[in-house]
Amino acid sequence: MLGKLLKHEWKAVWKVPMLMFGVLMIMAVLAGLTFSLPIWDSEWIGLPLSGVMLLLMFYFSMIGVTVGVSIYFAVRYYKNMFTDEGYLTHTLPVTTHQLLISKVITMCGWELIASLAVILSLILFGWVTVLSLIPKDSSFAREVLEAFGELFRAIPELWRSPEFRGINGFGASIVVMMITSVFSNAMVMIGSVNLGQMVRRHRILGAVGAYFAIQMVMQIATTLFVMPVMMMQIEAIDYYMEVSPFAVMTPMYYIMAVIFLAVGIGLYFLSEYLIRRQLELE
Amino acid sequence: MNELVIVNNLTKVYEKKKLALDHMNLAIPRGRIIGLLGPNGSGKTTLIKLINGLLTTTEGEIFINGKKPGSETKAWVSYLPERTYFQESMQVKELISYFSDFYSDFRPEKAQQMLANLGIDENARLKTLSKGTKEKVQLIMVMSREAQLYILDEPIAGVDPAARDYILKTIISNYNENATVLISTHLISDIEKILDEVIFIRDGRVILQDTVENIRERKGKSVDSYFREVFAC
Repeated sequence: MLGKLLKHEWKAVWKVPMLMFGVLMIMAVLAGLTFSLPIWDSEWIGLPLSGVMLLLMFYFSMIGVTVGVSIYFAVRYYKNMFTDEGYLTHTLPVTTHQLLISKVITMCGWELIASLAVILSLILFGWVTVLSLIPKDSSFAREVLEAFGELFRAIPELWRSPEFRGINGFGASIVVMMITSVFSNAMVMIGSVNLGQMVRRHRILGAVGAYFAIQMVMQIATTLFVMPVMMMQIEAIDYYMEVSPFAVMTPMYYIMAVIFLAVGIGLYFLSEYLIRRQLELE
Repeated sequence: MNELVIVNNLTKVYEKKKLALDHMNLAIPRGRIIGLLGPNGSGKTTLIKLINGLLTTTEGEIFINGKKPGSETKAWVSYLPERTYFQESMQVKELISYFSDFYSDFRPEKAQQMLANLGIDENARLKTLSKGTKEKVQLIMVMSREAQLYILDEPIAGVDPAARDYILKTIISNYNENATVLISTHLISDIEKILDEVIFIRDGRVILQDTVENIRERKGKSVDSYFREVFAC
């Protein structure tokens, strides 16, 4: 049944995020193309300003996609579970775990895809920018490409240098932290909507309140757990700097990952309990 | 065990201390078409939602085939709520695929035949259909299952008389003979002819459960007339 839930969930949701990604890619291309236009040297301030505006719009599109995908899935979760659509969702012959897991996997999947889309849009923007600059100033574009080439060639050597010792562990900690943060973000959204249902007469307001309350608790927990480790590391900074600067950051990311994971798992079981034992469809 | 649904001492109190069901006891037999009748606010929809697991009980228990409402019982119960509950963006054919995937007792060919009889395009999106047509699509989906219990909440409210006849015809000709159909309504005269049994509910309590035949014989009245007498304001 989980497979069927996932199939129908993905089928129902792909259009809106894909539309957002399409707009983001168009903004990336347009922002990059501004460098091919003769606007930057114009005497009239309006022209370079419009170029800057386009670049800013690309920047806000990146934020918009990340935030938009989260909000879209939170709203969809609410509609699918607690409005009229809930009459179908909750009469399917599936367990609460199956229902919840299908929602979490879909939400996490699309949040990861959104992150990849943002990275892709930046690559696209860079590529279009370089291509736009070639006709105007081929030497600059060539220099940029050469600089990148040199950087890529230097990476293996840098990787082996003593200053980069511990970078593999650092990279792994970032990946672990990012994955757990995607999971906890999804669970914060889902958990907030479920907690909001407890405020029977103001369910949406309750969900918004629960969201900020959870975020606050997470901030406090992060500060409480990360700060002592940071202080200890600052005290031993000489030792760490000798070993590698990356080693300073690695434990912090792992601590954050543990917090994200704990919050995510806690909210998952709380949500499962609330749906199974406290469901009250209007 | 002839009882399909057993309700023991069931109480439901909503927020603001509103008592919707008051220590209700009820046994619903198999193979019957039963009218769940009562005035507005008597607790019909609350009972139905509790059977479907859409609300949580305050006190008491419900058993369907001996099981408490859950994923297992949802495979046996085909429920038509009193509202449009499908995603508006879905196409009718997507609904068929959805029901086929989740309900092993769903018969797509039956649904397709009924849709064709009504001239409803399977490629149409629900949002493009009129309210009446949407309700017919919902009923078709629900009645295309070979469920053990059909629960229809106000299936004929808000539709024209011609559509009412179609809906009643669909119910009679499509339900599984061994199954029970529980119809909640206050439009008694329209459905009386198809009912085997009735349950009268007032203030969250069952005040009568009897066969239509008995009511006619003993009271010398139609169910509709008797209902009006019992619930006279």
